Amino acid sequence: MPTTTSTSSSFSSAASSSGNRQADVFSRLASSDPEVKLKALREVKNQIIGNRTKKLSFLKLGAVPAIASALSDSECNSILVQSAAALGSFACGFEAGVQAVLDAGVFPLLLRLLTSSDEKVVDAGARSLRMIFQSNQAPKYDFLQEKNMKFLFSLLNSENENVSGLGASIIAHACGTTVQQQVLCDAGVLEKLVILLDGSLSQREACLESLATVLKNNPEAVSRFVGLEAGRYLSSVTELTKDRYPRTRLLSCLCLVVIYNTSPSYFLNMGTKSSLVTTLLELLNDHGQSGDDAALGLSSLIAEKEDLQKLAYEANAIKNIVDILKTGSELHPKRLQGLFLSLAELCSKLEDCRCSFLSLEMLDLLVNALRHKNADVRTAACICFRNAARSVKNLSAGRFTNDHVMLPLVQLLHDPSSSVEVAVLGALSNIVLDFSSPKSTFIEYGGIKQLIELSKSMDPNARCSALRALRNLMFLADNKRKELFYSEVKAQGFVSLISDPEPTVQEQALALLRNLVDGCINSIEFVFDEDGLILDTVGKQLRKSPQAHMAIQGMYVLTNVASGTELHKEAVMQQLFPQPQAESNNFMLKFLQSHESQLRSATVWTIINLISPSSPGAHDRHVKLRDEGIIPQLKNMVNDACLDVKIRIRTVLSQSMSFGDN
Amino acid sequence: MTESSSNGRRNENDETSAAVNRRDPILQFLDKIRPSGDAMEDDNEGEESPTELNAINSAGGFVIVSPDKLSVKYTNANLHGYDVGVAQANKPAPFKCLTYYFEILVKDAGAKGKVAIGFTKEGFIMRRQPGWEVNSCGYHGDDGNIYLGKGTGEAFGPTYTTGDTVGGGINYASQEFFFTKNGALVGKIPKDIKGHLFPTVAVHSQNEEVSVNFGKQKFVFDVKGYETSARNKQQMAIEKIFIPPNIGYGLVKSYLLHYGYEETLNAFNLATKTTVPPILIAQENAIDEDDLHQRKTLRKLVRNGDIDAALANLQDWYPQIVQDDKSVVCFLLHCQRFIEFVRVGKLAEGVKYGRLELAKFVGLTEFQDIIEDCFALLVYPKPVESPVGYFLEDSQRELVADAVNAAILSNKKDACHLHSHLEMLLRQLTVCCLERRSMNGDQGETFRLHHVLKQYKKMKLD
Amino acid sequence: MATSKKVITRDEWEKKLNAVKLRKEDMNTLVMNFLVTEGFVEAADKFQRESGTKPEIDLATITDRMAVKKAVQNGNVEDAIEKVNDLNPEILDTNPELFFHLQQQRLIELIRQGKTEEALEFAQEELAPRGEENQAFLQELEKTVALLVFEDASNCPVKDLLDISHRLKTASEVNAAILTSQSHEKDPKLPSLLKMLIWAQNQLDEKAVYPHINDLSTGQLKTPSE
Repeated sequence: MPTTTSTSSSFSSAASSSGNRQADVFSRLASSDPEVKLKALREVKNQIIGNRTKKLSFLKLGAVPAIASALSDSECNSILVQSAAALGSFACGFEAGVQAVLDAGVFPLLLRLLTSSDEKVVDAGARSLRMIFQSNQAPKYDFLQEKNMKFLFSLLNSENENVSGLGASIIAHACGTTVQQQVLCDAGVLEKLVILLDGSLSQREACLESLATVLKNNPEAVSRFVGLEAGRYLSSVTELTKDRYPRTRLLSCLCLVVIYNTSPSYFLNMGTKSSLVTTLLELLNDHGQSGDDAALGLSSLIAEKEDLQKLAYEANAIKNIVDILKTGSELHPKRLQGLFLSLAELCSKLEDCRCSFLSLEMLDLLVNALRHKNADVRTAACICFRNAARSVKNLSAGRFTNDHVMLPLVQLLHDPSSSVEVAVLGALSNIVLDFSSPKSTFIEYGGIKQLIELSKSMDPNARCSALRALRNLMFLADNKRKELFYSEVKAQGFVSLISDPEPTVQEQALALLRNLVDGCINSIEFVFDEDGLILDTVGKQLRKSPQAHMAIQGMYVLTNVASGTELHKEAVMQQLFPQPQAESNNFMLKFLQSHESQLRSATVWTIINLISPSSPGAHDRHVKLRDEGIIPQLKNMVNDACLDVKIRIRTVLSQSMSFGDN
Repeated sequence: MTESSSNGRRNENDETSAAVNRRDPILQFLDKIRPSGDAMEDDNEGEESPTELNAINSAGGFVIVSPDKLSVKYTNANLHGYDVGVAQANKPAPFKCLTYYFEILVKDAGAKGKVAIGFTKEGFIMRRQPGWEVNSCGYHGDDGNIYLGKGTGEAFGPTYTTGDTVGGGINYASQEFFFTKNGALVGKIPKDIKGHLFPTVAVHSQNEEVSVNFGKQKFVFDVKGYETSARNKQQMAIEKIFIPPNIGYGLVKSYLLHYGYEETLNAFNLATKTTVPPILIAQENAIDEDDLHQRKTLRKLVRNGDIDAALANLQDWYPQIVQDDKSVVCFLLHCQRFIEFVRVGKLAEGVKYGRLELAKFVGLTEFQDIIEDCFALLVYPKPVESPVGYFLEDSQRELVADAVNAAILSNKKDACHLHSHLEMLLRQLTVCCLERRSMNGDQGETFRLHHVLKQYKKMKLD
Repeated sequence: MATSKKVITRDEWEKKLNAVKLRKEDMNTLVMNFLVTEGFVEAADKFQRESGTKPEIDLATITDRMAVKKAVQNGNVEDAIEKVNDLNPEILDTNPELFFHLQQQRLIELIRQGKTEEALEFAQEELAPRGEENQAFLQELEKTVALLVFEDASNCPVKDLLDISHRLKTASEVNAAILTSQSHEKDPKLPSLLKMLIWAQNQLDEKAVYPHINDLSTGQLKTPSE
């Protein structure tokens, strides 16, 4: 095969000759002859523009510091322009390049170019700086320093569109805190930015991005922006959502999403809302970066807003998104994340959405996404599962309970990313809730063990979610499973969960315990293991005047324990009235006076179980409760605002009557 | 008319139209000078819109129109089908636009929620629901049906009640009614009613109350967005049409040739010849290029304000055009000469020139007003800022140059091209759009080249 | 349908045509827009002087743009790339599709010149990495390399790539990208008005019979045969 040989030889020579050429150009960068140097700079620039591979190989050769020194040493405008352009290209869409450029210390050199009298030099400097500021690695810019603010305004005021665009890019990059937003607004930055809205394409885009950063989550800034010339610029931004350039349409949509999420009152107009939704949906079909960003924009727009979710649903959002996911081409992780999050939002509240989503048969795609190499995509897919599984109808149809779905979910419990863990726990809690078969599949895969592991995670969110899942898992579970679970946790484990530093974790731990001791007498015994260590801890926590949410779960634990034998009831009494009484005021009295009706209700339930007439010690316990002022307190509550509490109190008082108490 | 005609009837037509052209090919330039010529173009602005309800003509006794005339309330307990409380707007919906739209807010659906929104004609029976009678249309709140003047309604959209904002609109381009509820489009339905239509609301059970928004407040529905997407849809359909590639080149070339922009033409020819591959331009037969240079020279002279030289050259090259010293071309050139005197402040010479050359046109009806306007330039200390300042604008010179050019072209034996090809296409486009619009009762936007170009500039600069 | 159509005679129609008021400035603007967008800088300059019409963008920017366009049209793609980069380095750095198409055109030119070895080297070094980044590019690359398989390119199923029209396509893509970077419309207004004429006639056809313009290049009215 002579052809093959010649081809392969030419390939290998190609690789080496290109390497040689690069080395050759590189060596000429350091030439003392300005002509040679200029030519080499242009060559490097032309080789790397648009070409990631070349950027990388020149980077490895050390081209960036070489170009940086050309930039700092030369007074020749052409050399300045070429070297700035080359550095800008290294920094364009190439993080390693940004790093190298910053490391080479060119930042002040590029800034210096902005003061040149040659417009081309200014352009080149401003463009390169803009590239750098598009990266997260760019240096933070301290707006609080007066000279910096002055400089920023000199940029924004510039006639040169690259320079004013740079000003806007700096804001978009560096403005993060409310204080910064405030300082910028007070300095009049909004007034400057809106002028750029009428400028060239690149000015407009930079302006929309920086507007979004200045307005984000800052109602004051938004009202200031909307107030400019009686809302003229809000209308301008709205109009730009119909622009002919997709990028402009996207950025103006994102700006509106920020405004909407910050101050929804400016969006009373349903038409604006629905056209925002439809524009974002249309942009999803854009193949480029705009389409990637549109997906996240959409999910942020409809997050926790039922009306917008409905609008999106009516605009056929689910079908659109699923169609894009089904195209089979490789999608950018950002786009996948956004699409799954949007689906998740759509399925968060509306049952119609869940059904239509599940009817499109894309569970396979979702399962694949669970294995995606990008953690954000995995997280989004889990959230999507969690919300879709809120559909009781679909859950009971057993859609999620096969191995195909459960295995990857359980595997994600080992995920290196804690946000994935939290999300998958959310999904699992919903799937394992209330149904027997998924629970067994889950347990088969060692899910319980994994959850217990996670309940010891360093991340409080993960602990909380793990406990929530376990709590669902223990709801109406049979004794076998409870024992399996308890044998893994043990009393000591429970004690540490109940005394977790995070109140939310404590609450979930108590809720889990409440489900664990619910039901048959045997399960109550768990809290008496190791000399009643768990019950003691519960009592201790309740006496520490906990938050209402925690107290509710604690009281239900006691309620459930008090539903047991005489021994159990007495143990509860011990917790309620320990010897010696530390405080003058019993915590039960406080709970009964709580604003939280659920806490009042839980407390009354405990009392009902304690003085249930069928048990022999009921009378004595009643006496104790009366002497401690509990029964008189209940008498004051016969007209409680909460119907449930009112009914329960009547039950207690009728029991009380039977003990001859009036 | 360059081709030999194939039937007699057309020959006849050709002759009449040619006769018309021969009589006044240059006369049109007089119209172009008159400032009113432009005002006509913006005739759709200033069309009046409804502002409030007609309180007098509403069904008295059943309905109370509020003092601000923007809401109605039904006071009676209703009895039968002839005691509906109807109120029309004080003016019909404007129609020289893409859409008309208004909204109502149901403040109280009353006992039965028999609220309706729609459009009716001027003589509508004010005791009937819109849609119950012929030539009316209504979207009813109690059943969500649309009524189009037949006995029964058709299923259309959701019902609406207290707290809902409902809108009614007309899309004149598609000749459809459309309705909205709470900012979302409910649906559309063909509009078969001709002539003026009044926005109309109706209430028909006790305590029903509705307020109307004719646009004073921001609409809940995004009408602008609706219009934009309607336009975009049309634009997309248009962009899909195939035309032969490079056809623009030939049109531009013949345009340059027609108006005698010789230098531009040469530069353009040179450039198209050197592209790779060269752009082939269909050969132009109608206008030979012999006189191009002369026409270009004359245009240049006029544009430079050197009218004397232009007249002298005309005398040499085209004596037949200036033979009749009362011709339109002569008139325009003399006027321009006068204007040029004014421009440089030589008023006395201007007056002298005017007496000599313009006096002979006084009394000729077609010129009288223009002469008066021209002489008015003398009255103002700053003529440029005066109401007749347009005479001093660059476009005036261009216009006179065009008139000279047209006179030369029309004087040729085979002269048939009063207009350039490009202009003929644009005229055809304008008439087609106008004609289509007139078949819709003159409703909808008109096509105007000026607006298309302005729109483009706006997109670019804003 | 046909019976209800309104018939407009040629005479009536011509009266309507003559009644249309068109501003000369508007037509001049339209022509200027064409010259500027298509890049006829000399002609645009002369037109400004001869008609007093202001160009909508700085004519100097046209010269640079046309130099790029011409370079592609002549097959000097490398030269074109350098010129675009001098004009604005962001254009090719942020527009991977355009960059790929230019590189692809470069490959095509090498193949056209019969420089097989150089073409292969170029495909390996410059284009293959782009293909790795984007599935669609890879397919186009494979299609282009297929040109090498055929000794006689005229038999090749992808011979269209060698056609001069492919150069023009690439050239107009660069032209459009530069115009966009200068915030200018990438297409002239004239062709879309011509399309609109066809559309308007089609629309009116549904309701009326009237003299048509069928040949856009001459603008001749044709009375429809009844």
